[in-house]
Order: sequence, then C-alpha cells, then structure tokens
Amino acid sequence: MHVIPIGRVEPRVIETAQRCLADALGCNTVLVPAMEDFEFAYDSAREQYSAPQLLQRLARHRLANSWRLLAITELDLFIPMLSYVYGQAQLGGALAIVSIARLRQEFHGFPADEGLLMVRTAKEVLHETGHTLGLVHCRDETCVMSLSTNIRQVDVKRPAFCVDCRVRAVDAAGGHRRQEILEAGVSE
Amino acid sequence: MKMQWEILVADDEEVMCESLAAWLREDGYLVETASSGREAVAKAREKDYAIYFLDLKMPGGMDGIEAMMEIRRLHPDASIIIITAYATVDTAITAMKEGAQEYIVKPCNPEEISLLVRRIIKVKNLQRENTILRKKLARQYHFQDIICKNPRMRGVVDMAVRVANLKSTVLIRGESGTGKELVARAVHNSGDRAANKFVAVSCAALPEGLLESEMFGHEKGSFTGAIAQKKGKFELADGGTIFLDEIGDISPKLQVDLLRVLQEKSFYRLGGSEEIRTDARVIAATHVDLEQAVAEGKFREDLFYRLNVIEIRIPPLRERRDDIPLLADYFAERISREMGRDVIDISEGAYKLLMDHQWPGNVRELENAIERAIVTSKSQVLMEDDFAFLPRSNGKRVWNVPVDTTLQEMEKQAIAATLERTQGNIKDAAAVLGIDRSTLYEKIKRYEIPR
Ligand SMILES: [Zn+2]
Ligand SMILES: [Zn+2]
Repeated sequence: MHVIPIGRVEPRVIETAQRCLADALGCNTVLVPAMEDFEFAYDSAREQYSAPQLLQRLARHRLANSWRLLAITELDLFIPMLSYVYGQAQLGGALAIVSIARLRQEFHGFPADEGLLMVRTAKEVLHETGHTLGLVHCRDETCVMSLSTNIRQVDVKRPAFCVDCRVRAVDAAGGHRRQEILEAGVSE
Repeated sequence: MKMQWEILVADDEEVMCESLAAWLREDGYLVETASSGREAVAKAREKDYAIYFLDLKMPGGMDGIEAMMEIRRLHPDASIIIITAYATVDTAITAMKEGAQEYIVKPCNPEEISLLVRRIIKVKNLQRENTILRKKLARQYHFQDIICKNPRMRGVVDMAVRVANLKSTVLIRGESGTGKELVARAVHNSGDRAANKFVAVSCAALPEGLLESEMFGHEKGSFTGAIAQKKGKFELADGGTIFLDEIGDISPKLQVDLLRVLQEKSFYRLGGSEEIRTDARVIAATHVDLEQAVAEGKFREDLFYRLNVIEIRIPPLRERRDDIPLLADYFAERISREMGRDVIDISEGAYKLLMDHQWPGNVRELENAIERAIVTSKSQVLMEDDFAFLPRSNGKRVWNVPVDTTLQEMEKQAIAATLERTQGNIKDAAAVLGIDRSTLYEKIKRYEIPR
C-alpha cells in the first residue's frame, strides 16, 4: 500500500497514518513523493478543493504495483453537493484521500492540540481505507467506520474497527499479520 | 432481514450526480443516477426507490418539479428531495406543495443531509416491518383456505370444525360466490374422513338425465351413449364426502332419488339391479331460499329436512366488510405469485374503494377484481385507478331493482341495508323505512336479519 502527501504535510501526520495502517490492518506502507499539482482542483468561490477531481488526478500517481493509494492533505475538501468532506474514497477501489484541515482544533477556534490531531488523523485514515476495502458505514458509533459529519462524531469513535468491521477489513486487506490481528479482534 | 435500500440521484451535472451517489454508497445504499428528468422518470417506472434526489434545474424539457409530479403519479408515497442551487421562496413553496419531502440548497451541510436520509430510511424500515407484521398476522386468520376475522365468519369456521366428525348431513347456505365449497371442504378436511375423497357435484350445471348418471353412475347400455359401466359420484365418495352444490335446482325425480339415498344409504346405478351401499357424507349447498321453494311446492319438504340437519349460513361479503382488506391482501399475494408478478401492497385509497363496494358476486367477485387489477397494473402497489372497472357509487349505494326476486326478499334486503347504514340503530332505521319500531323488530325477527 502506498501513501502520498498532496502538497506539504507534516511528517508526524504521515507517520501516524502509516503506523495505524500497520497496527489495525497489518499493511506495510510505502511513502511516495508528494503530488504538487493540485491547484486545478481549487474552487475560488468556495475556497476549497474538489475531492472528486483530486481523486481522479490521483490515479496518475498510482504506481503499477500499488495495491491501494492513500492521499493525505492539509487542503480543505468538498464534493459539489456538500459543503465539506473529511475525505473520500473509491468504495472497494484503489484510491482514497483524507483531509486533516478540519481535524485541527485551530479550525474550530481552539488552541492547537497535536495529540488530538494525530488521533483524529488515524481515525479518518482507517475510515477511508476501510471504504477502499469495500466497507460501508457502521451503525456502531464507536467503530471507526461509523459516519462522521461533524468533529464531535469523529471524537466519539475509537481509532479501531469494531469486531465485525475488523474481520471484513483485515480479510480484504490480506496483510502479513492477518491471523494475529484477527485473533486479537475476536478475543476482545 | 436487513434491506438494502435503493436511492436515485438525478442531476444533469455528472460530477454532482456521481459525487453524491458515491457519498451515499459509502453509507450502504444502492445508488443509481439519472442525467435528466426524463431519465429519472423512466427509471422510476422500472422500480420504486426509497429516496429520489432531483435537481430542480434540469434541461431537456423536464425539470425537477415536473419529474417529481410524474414520479408521484407512479409512486404516490415516494420520498422526494428537491435540490437547488439557489434558495428562492417561490420554488420552495411549489416544491413542497407538489409533495416534495424536503427541499435542500446545495452545497448542503453533510450532517443535515445524512440526518434527512436516515430519517426517511427509518420510516421506510418501519413501514416495511409493518407490512411483514401484517402479513404474519393475516396468517392467523387462515383456516383451511378460509380467510376471516369477522365474528360471524369465525362462527362459520367454528361450526365447520365442530360438525366435521359427525355423520349428519350439512346444508350450507349463502349467496353465490360466498365460498360454500370452501366451507364444505373445511368440514371434510377437519374431520376423520379427510384421508378419503371429497367429491363435488354441481347440480345446476347438468340436465336431469346426465346429473342422475353423474350421481349414481350407470351400467353399460343403460341408455344411448352409455358405452361402458360408469361409477357415480356417490360411489366415488364412499368413506369420504359428497358435496352437492346448488341442490335447490334439482328436478322432482332426482329429489326422490336423493331422498332414498339419504334414508337407505344405498342406491342402484342407472340400468343396474345391484344395490350399492355408500358411506358418503352428504354436504349440500344452495343460494336459493329453500323454505320458500318448499312453500311453493318446488322442493320436497321431507328432503329439505333430511338435508337441513345442520345448517351453516355464510354471510355475504357486504355483511363482513372487515374481512375485505384481509381477503384482498391474500388474493393479491397469491395471484401475483401465480402470475410471477411482484405486487407487494394495496394503497389506502384502493382499500377504501374495495370496502365501499357492494360485492353482489361476493368473495369470488373480489378475487376476480384483484386478478383483473394485477393484470392491468404496472406498479407494485394496486391503486384506486387499478379498480376503475368497478362501478362507482359516489359513496351512495346504487339500488338496482332486482327482477328475479320476491317482494319479501326485497323487503328483507332493504331492511338489512338500512340497518347497516344506521349501524344497527333501530330507531333511525325505522324512521328511514317509514315504519314504526315494533313493526321493524317483527320483520327483523321474521327475516332473521343479523344486526
Ligand atoms: Zn465514510
Ligand atoms: Zn463497525
């Protein structure tokens, strides 16, 4: 699995993403050079970037041997119908994108909190990756696959899959620690 | 069972359509898209969606409001959400007035839209559970093939069970189409004769000579055309039940023959000399007033008393209207299954129309009406329009002057109908009929009118 920054992204954020994918899914991740051509997706009226357009461009950055490509960005994303999204993924597909713009406490008018930002990042990374593994939203609001449309919902969920979602995700991810992770999930 | 709901998104802008569809798919819905109002309507014609998202401004001669009106014609209960780029009070009012469930301005807050979708789906889930529950409940009203919850009809069913193991003759009375044969079969199937044959003979269908041979059989050469020996229905029903439908129509000669079988438990084949014993239980049925026929000398009094040992009276459908939805559901399910159709429900309006109809042909007429509606209907829900062939009475019941009935029968019907209208109120009914209360009581008693 490959991870790609779009524009400048703090190394700690990238590290967090890679670590949570390894822990939860047993995925080995490889960091690839950042995608710097993103201004085409800018909507000046909304002062945001179009997630569908970025996702489309992302396909060009996908290496031939890349199983999944997850993008992480500081850009604030939208889809035409909605005022913002935390991320977007191809359901059961190869590409996903996560924005950390709205995961920052500063965005909501609070002092920065790096620890909280890392936890939120891990949750959204797992969530969008889960979609690429074919998972849809989970009705367990503590499961990382539950739908978050506001920051409170992001904070309510744990940075982990519920047992049902974990079994499906790990099975689909086929990571090298599959057995170990599945057993840990079932014994919980 | 968890239902995967389907959503239709219609917008001429592809990226708008696809991104909303993708977002909804992540929430677990099956989503289809349409790029115009016409395409949305065409898709709605194929199937009903749980939610329709329609963009207000779509080119191609059909905007969101027009598409919504078309879709509502196909699926009156459709949940439609109109999407617009600019909020104007006028379009919002038009959209809501034409039946939009919600009106949203894009870009929309994701929280708002997810709450809206989940709220609609929650209602759909509840409705679906109710439909399943209603179907489950309906099953408890099944006895053999008789479907009812009406107390008088329940009484008929109880009676059928109670007399099932007796040897006595049963006379089932009721108008055409009320299901006399079903009740006869229920008697047969509930008793210790169930393993043996149930043989039905329609006495009205055959001329005297043929009916005689049908009942008692004949020997070879007993009449022209009797090329081989044939066993009669009484013989075939030995150990089981013989059902003689429309017994009021049989000729005086057959009345004598039948009386003999009932008395002697034996008979001769036509042209035969061997006495054949039979242990067939006799259930007879009639829609005519046999007492009247006896009084007029058309029906033997001794035969009448032999037949009328146990009497079961089936009420006409108009006197058990509470069974109409139950029966309609049952027929809709059975007939659509038989025809490979997917009719899942009947609309409230259609139920009301069916409840209001007079049903002179009783349950059989209802069954035929449901079948005809399913054949012509294009949707999964039977609507009022699907029953347009039923004569309308604008709430008032049409009084067709019967030409083949007695004045007494007409009086009886007039009293019964009036009592039904006044919901059993004697004082009101007497006033409507223009007679005094004691006279009305007397007539109710004489005609045995239920109330
Ligand atoms: Zn999601
Ligand atoms: Zn889950």
